[in-house]
Amino acid sequence: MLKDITLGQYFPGHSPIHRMDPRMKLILTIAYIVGVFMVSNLPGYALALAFLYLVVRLSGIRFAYLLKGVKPLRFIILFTFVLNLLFTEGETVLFSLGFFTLTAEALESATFFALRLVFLVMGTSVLTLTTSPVQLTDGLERLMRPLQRFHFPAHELAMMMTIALRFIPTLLEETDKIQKAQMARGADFESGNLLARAKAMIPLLVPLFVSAFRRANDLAMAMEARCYRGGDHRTRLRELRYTRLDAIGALATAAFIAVVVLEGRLLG
Amino acid sequence: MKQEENRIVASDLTYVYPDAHKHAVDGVSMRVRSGEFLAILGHNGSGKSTLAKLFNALYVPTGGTVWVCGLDTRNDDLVFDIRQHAGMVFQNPDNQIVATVVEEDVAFGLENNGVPPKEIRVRIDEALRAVNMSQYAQKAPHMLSGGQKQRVAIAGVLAMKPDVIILDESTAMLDPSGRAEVMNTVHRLNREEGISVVLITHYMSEAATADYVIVMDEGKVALSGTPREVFSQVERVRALGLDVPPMTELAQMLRSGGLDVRGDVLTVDEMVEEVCRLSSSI
Repeated sequence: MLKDITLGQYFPGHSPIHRMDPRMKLILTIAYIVGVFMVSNLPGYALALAFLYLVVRLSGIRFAYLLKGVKPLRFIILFTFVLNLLFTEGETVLFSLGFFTLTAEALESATFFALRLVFLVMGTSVLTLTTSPVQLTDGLERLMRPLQRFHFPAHELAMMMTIALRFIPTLLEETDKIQKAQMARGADFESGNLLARAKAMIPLLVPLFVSAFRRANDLAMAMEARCYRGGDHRTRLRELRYTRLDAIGALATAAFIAVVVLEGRLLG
Repeated sequence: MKQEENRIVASDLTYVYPDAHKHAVDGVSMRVRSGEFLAILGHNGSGKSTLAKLFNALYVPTGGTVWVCGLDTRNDDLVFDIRQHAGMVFQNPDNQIVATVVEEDVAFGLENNGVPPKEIRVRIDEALRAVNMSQYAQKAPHMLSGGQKQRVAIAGVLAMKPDVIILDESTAMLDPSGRAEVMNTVHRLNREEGISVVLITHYMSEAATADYVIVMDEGKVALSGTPREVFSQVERVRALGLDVPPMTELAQMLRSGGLDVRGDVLTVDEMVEEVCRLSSSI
């Protein structure tokens, strides 16, 4: 059923990684990705993999589960790999067939690019698997708060994300209901070509939109009745606080980046 | 009028919706006393929901005045104080829950008012306990039943320590057990915490449990009094497009059949008493 769709695939737990501050996790994830992009040789990637493996083990998530997250992206990864293989210029020819020549440089660059994508996906997966959507939006709001000085709507964005998360299950349930109601009236959502099927969605989408607007109206009224007046002077139930775990995480990530840079220098 | 005794005072209250010609609320004067349980009845479009929104400063009166705990709702600076004094629970349980976790939703109003986090924690725990939802504090709202969602909404209002709770047809979309849950909770809060209740409803059985009933029609107060006074005027109530509570109707039928039962019976218990009295006299 539609209701079973999980969002962000949060994996509840109490591991040290789960307990870290969402702000720190966001920053460290970005730092890790930057680190991975600085890697320029295979031992470096082995290091990146080892670091990721360590973090995943600490979080209590199965590494195989993380790999599953990469699977839907296999075509994009394969595509970039082939593209890099074909269009990178190099001198060391390994293999030649007609106008196609495979060079060692192209093979190297294509492999590295694919690896970078894999690490990018896995790194961000660790973030979303260990951080609940609520914490994530909270963390984002706090991180973006300094930007409010430049009239960046940090609070409003976070509020929108929270409300969207809150209403996804409600709207999915409603879609399900409307779909069944229309099917009971003889609507056919499954047969016909693409155009016919797209057209069949109209009796589903129109009531859904009408209802969504009514809900938005009701919710705005309810929020106002509960003294909502934007992000100014607002306190939060859960205060975010950096702990020793965050310091340890930051040091570990810094060490990883330092080693990657040094190793890159040494091995050229 | 002494403000300590009256939680809400409306005087010659009028409201016209923008772009409308008809008065949605037309010259209503009324009050809600401290600790009172008031029910407002009326058919669709009688202006009862509009009246509720005027009590919460969601609408500003076109004419006349509303004082909530002595505060004039026309004063822009007092809006948030008023909304804290007079909390509101709406009809659709799905469309008034903001957060993705129950306790975060209860905290919403307090967060808006800048209450310190430690105090928020204490107050939401109290509020959830008061509506018997403590064990659901960490649950996602969409996993709850309608009655449970409404109780979460009541907890959200309760956490703000209001003097009045306004329920705008809050039981209309619930199943019978959900309605009973909500009504029991509201009655208990009224009795034990002394919170005044304004219950807007079209269920006569709910109105029968109130201290005082106001029947609205065409934006005006058509009838008012204790439930007994109001519902004994069966013909008037019917003419206003409303039913009378089932037991009152039964009593009326028995009377027209020539039996000497009281005409102002409201509850099943009273009816049992009447029937017993009658059978013992035969």
